[in-house]
Amino acid sequence: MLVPGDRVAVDGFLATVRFVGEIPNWPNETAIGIEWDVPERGKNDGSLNGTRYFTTLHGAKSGSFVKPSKLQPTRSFMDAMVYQYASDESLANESASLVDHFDLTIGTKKVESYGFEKLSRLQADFRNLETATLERLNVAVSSPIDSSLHNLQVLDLGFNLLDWHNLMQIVLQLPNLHTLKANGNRWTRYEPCTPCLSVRTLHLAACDLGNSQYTAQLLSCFPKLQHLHVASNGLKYIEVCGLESLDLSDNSFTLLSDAPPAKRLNLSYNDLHIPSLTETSLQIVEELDLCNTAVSEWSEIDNLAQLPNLTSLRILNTPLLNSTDYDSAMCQLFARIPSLVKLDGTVYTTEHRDNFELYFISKVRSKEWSCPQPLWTTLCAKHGVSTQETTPAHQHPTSTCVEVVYDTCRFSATLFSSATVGKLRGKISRKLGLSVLDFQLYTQLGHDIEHLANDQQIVAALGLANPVQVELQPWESGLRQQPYLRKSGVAD
Amino acid sequence: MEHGITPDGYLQEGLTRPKGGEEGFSTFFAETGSGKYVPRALYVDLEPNVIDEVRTGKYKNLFHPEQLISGKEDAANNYARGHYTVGRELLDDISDRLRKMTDQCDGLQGFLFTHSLGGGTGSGLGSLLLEQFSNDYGKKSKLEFAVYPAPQVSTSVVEPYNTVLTTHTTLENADCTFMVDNEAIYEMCRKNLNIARPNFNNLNNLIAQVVSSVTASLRFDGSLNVDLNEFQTNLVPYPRIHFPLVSYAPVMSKSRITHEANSVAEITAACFEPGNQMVKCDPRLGKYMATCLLYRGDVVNRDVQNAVSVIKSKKTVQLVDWCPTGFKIGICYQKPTQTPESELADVSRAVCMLSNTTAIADAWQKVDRKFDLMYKKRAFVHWYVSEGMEEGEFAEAREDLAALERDYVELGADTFPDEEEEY
Amino acid sequence: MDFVNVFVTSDLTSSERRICLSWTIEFFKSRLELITGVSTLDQKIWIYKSADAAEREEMTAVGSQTLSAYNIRPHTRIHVDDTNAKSVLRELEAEFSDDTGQHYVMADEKYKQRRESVLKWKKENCYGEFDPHFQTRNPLSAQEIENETRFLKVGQSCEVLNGNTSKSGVIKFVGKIDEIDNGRCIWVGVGLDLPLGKNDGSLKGKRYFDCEKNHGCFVKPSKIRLTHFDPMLSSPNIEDEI
Repeated sequence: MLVPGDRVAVDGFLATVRFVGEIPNWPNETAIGIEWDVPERGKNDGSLNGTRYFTTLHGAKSGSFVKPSKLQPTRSFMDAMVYQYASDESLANESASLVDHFDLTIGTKKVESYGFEKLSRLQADFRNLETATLERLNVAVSSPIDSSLHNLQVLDLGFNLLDWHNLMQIVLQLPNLHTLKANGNRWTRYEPCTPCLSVRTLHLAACDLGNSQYTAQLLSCFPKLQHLHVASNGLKYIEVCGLESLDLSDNSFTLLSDAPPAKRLNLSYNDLHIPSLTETSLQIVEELDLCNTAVSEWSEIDNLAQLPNLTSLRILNTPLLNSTDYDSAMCQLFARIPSLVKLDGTVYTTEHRDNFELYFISKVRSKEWSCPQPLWTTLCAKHGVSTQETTPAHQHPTSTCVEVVYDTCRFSATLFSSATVGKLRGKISRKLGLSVLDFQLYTQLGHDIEHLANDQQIVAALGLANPVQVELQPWESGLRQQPYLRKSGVAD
Repeated sequence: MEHGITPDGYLQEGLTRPKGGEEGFSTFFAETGSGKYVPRALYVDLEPNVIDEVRTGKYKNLFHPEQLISGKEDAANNYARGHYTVGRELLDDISDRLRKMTDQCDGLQGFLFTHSLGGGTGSGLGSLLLEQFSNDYGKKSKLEFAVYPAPQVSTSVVEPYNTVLTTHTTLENADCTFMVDNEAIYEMCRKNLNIARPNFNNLNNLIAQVVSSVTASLRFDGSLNVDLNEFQTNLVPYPRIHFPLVSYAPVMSKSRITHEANSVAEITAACFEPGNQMVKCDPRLGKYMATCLLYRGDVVNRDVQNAVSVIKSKKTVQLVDWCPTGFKIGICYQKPTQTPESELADVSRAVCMLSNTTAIADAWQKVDRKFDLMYKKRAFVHWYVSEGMEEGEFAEAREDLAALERDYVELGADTFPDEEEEY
Repeated sequence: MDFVNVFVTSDLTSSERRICLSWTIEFFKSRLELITGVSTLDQKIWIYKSADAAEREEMTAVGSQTLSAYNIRPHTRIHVDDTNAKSVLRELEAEFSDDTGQHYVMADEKYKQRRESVLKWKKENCYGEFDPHFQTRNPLSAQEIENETRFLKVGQSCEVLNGNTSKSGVIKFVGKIDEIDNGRCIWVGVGLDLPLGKNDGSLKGKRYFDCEKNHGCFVKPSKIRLTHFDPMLSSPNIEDEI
């Protein structure tokens, strides 16, 4: 009998049972109220014709009522193994030829396959299996595991219906398992269990851990963990330590300092900023992925420089990078982060670094860019140039105030005197929630309306007396970059 | 790395035998007396710089000095220098060293060439060696991996000449040529691997992965294309039509490993996307003479069948009905391995598609057109003539390529009235 | 030897090259000619300090001076301009960018005379059109028709793929058309959003569907790509779920 919290599959979509009982619509049947893992799949919020039967967690359209006949049958782990790896009918036929024909033609051609029969035979003997993938097979119960599976090292149980207890039952029977993937499962209940000492790599993406009260307990079942992937979980914080790598992409972190330490840390697709990091345990971070985050100020990058071991950084598609051209961004990033070697997937040599730093120094001298101390002194000393000739702009931070007018909205933006038009665009974009590509800036200079088209121009140098006008730019498909598309683990 | 060999040629700790079975492994490596393994490979360049990097680099102890051959003077982007003057001087040396290596082989199947089509050394010396090998080793298979000039930007102004000349020379001598276009690889690095500014290391890492997949069945316990001759049998219906298009999936960055699903169905569909091809062209507009899907890693029969049914139902594949080659599927149980520097995600399965499609004729058309415009003015032809090449070779080569274009048209022809595009 | 890798660019080329700082300017220019095609006499060479176009320096030294006179670092960009407005290169540049130009295509007669060609091979082996049974190929079986049209329903929005382009429209007709091929194949009639079609939904006087002039076309199912395919819409047991 189903109880709320159970996991079910309907038409290939996974859901959590929230209600079991009767509803007026189906008088002679049990109705099952469920909340879909993919909220768009649903129809209501748990109430029907004014009566509330349950309340959905993920918005007003993520719930549905279904008849029990709609539920797909579940499998035990061993059944799923047999179904996936040992159910090839051709195996029964001893005299099958070496060339195994698929029953498929394309045009007039028969599709020929080679080696699949041998593969099937090989796989059917579970002792040969080191990797097994049982994704989306509605596995719900553990069942005693055949000892022939003891060589299994990598197991993918993604998008199944397993309770945590059942999952651990499976894992604990596989002595050599070092990688467990259980993406897209969800756990509403937890019972204490024996820890698993063999698993080093754990994938729990899209498991809604952000809404689970048991996340810490679940993770404590794997004390030897080195690599953890918990992308797309709506997490605001997580407690783990001693990890080599940690994937927290597509979660709800707002500050880099909230992330736990790991040598390789992926925080892409979090709406986060970088505060000062001196007091954090993040000092061990070597590789950091901040693509598609909210990083928008160079001062945030200066905070990153507080991580002494940071050698690799990914930072594409952030407001900061979008507000300038990539080449100058590259120069600034390398100059500001002395330990950086690899940027957005490409390794740069020390000669590159020297080039970047020299260019950076020249830009700071011409007051186009600013540079904090003591970095300025260090850079100047390294390249044998005097710090005195020109003082870096930031030492007397005079700010400029710019009036911005957009439609009926009027506000003022405060900028450093060294800020460029690009920077102003960035600020406006965030304030108005527009993409920087979607608008143009105009202002009245003397008698002329000036189009602020050069993003490298220093705002203060324009001597703006009049407000800056924001105008929406007509959408031109050729000019506009494709919005960054990404697939999420849950989307079907 | 895939075989468990360290950069200096010994087995990784804890291994008693190379991974993937002796037989497949010995195709590409020879064991010396002391338990060291040496790749059966020769590196050749007309100028010393690049090979010096191998001589002093991470893999310097893997190769015997005899395997690294370099001259003193480069080909200056000139096919004629690589083929006639500078290149010819190295020819005897190369042949000798090659003979020493082939003498060590128990059953020589053939040769794998890797070279560029646009540069002077790759085009000139590359085709010279192919000719020489045809003379010395007769019918042994000769497969090429050729770096094809990018459609938009040339690396040198005479690239179209070099490409047409070398293609003409090798058309008869190579059995199967897998082309790789740097621009396609560059795009793949940018779009699929999110590398902002791909450099040669990034490009080479990806190419290496693809070459590894193409040859996986030779090196490991595979089932389709287990020897070099089979590539030809399965992919080349007629000797001149020997330029299969290579696609590979998944090309996925390390940082996105948990987000992107990587099922057999998805990687199979991805192979038919132009974004996963090594040469930019649109096979949806052409017809397929032959297709080989080579799966690697954790794959089951049923999933492959379903994936291919979906491909069929989507009408992405139109086969040339009368062609003696067809649609084949093979499997190699070894999953792909990544080098630590690579940005490619470590995955448990991958698929490489080799398809002989008429769409690849696009690639020739672009080069041929540039060739025509230049040759009409006899631009830069004197550079070649001064190296002892006859001007007639230009016209002869171009004629051959024009015939090749016609060959492709002829393959896609045979239309019923109902196969007209649109009414 | 002091070698550095630099980027050499010109209006027609772009490549990474290894140069030696002890080369003389004269020698360097001769190398650049071989790469870019710009004659040494017409070269105007720019050394870029950064990606910023404003910061570049012209290479003015001549003859036997060496490259070490310039601050050339790894990955410095060196750009070569052609000062000769009438050079062959300038002409080529204009022609390369002109897509309308035709290239040499071998004439039928000449192709037929080739010693080795696909045409000859086809003839020798009776392949394709040389197959005596080719013209009498059977019409599609019911199963094949079912397979071809399973996903195509009248009223669905779709794109008609044609070369590198596609045209959007709505499926108006799926079935056999005697006027084209005596009912051998299945054709899809599409009402296009824009007047990019060839007819108004009728062929040789017979009407298959209604649409405005030049908004209609008939194509094979393989040329159709559905734009909105929602599996939930076609879910049959929809009443089991509320």
